[in-house]
Amino acid sequence: MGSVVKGMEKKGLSLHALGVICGLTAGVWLGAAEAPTKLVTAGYSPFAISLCMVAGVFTARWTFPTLLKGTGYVFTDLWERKHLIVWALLAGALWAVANTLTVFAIRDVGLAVAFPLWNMNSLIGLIWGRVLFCELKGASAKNIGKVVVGAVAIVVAAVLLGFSTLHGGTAMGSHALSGIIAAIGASLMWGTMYVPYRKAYLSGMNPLSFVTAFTVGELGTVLALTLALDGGTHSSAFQLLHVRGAVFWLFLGGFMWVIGDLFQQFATKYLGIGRGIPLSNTNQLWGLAWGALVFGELASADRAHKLLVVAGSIVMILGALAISTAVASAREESSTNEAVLRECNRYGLDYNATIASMGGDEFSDRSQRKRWWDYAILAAATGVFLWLGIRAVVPPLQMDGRWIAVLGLVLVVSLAVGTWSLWRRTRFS
Amino acid sequence: MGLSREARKIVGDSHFWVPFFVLLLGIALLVALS
Repeated sequence: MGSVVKGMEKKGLSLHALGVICGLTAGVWLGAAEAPTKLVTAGYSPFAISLCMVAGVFTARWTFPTLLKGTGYVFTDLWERKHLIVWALLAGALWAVANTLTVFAIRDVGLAVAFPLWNMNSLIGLIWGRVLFCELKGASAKNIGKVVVGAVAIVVAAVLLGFSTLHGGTAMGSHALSGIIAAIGASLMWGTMYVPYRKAYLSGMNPLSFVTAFTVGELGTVLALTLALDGGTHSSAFQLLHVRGAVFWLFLGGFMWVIGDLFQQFATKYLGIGRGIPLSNTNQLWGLAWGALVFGELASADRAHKLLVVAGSIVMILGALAISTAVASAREESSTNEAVLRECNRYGLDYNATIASMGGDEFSDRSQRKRWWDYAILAAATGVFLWLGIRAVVPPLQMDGRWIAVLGLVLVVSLAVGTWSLWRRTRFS
Repeated sequence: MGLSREARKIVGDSHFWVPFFVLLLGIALLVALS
């Protein structure tokens, strides 16, 4: 990230560099979001864990847009492009179904096999980006090579890192085939989920507005799936919500995931899905770092497994580097403008304003004034986290405090760099 | 009215059917697996 930051000029940070910073920051936060959920070890159903986490996501989702822009701005943005509300709900539903499929995949084939399979979502996104939004159209052979090889390298690295966590005792379930199908299904869902993301940003919508509607689809679908597939109102999800001490960690995981996802949304806006998804998929590296360094998950790993970690990490970094340096040419940008024109013609949007918005410029003097209910939303969300936080109980798990400090510092620094870059270049637009 | 016009634009957009059918496929997969 440092080399990218060096490339900044005064308010002249390129949109490509901004997208790369957002993609890498997304990876750091999405990877770290797995850590708090490790503290919930009691035998709750995966649906229950997922629902509590999404409840935390929902709470946090409304906080950031309200804090940064105010609900007046967000709802005006949504109303000006009402068709995108449907797209956002669809994306939220895709996320929820994918997340539930991963539960089945983990149950049947284990995380080490399932994770690399669903991480192939970046390749699905690459295909949709090319077919639907003209991404990489007009790009030089060198740039196409960098993006495709980089995306494939990150998937290969995910396989290596996944197998590094596979120990002898990890057995394939008797439903291995259904587990693999579930993981591939999750990959297809998540890869396709970026279609609505990109659609919204080609129409000039602010990512903060999009996620506000997205999260309604997300929570509604997870709730419906829990009721339909996890015992209805008898689901352990509803009991878990009453368990003192456990819920906070799931909410915290959801909160961190929201920060990561927001940066992922901005990466999708400024890089497109072909480049944005692989960069945020570097989250596996950070998830592994938390697992191995803080929770000692590789303490008993042999030399071969450690070698897989080193090889996987190097391949992933090289893949991210390849994509980061594939700056879109003028010809490729003109193809993107064609995709914007298609959206403007179909949905009656102002082309020039939309192009300006794509470049991170505000296209109207829309009010960002905060109303009393904005402060009420912020206070309520903060109150929920504080209320859960003071009841939180740290389970007796062995954790390395020094590595928590180091990785926590990485989180803070990445957040500071990402936030500052977005603010300076686009004012979070 | 305005909303039905928006709805027609959405269903007339070939892009819409890609995530829509993928979502249906995912739900069918979930039902089959559970």
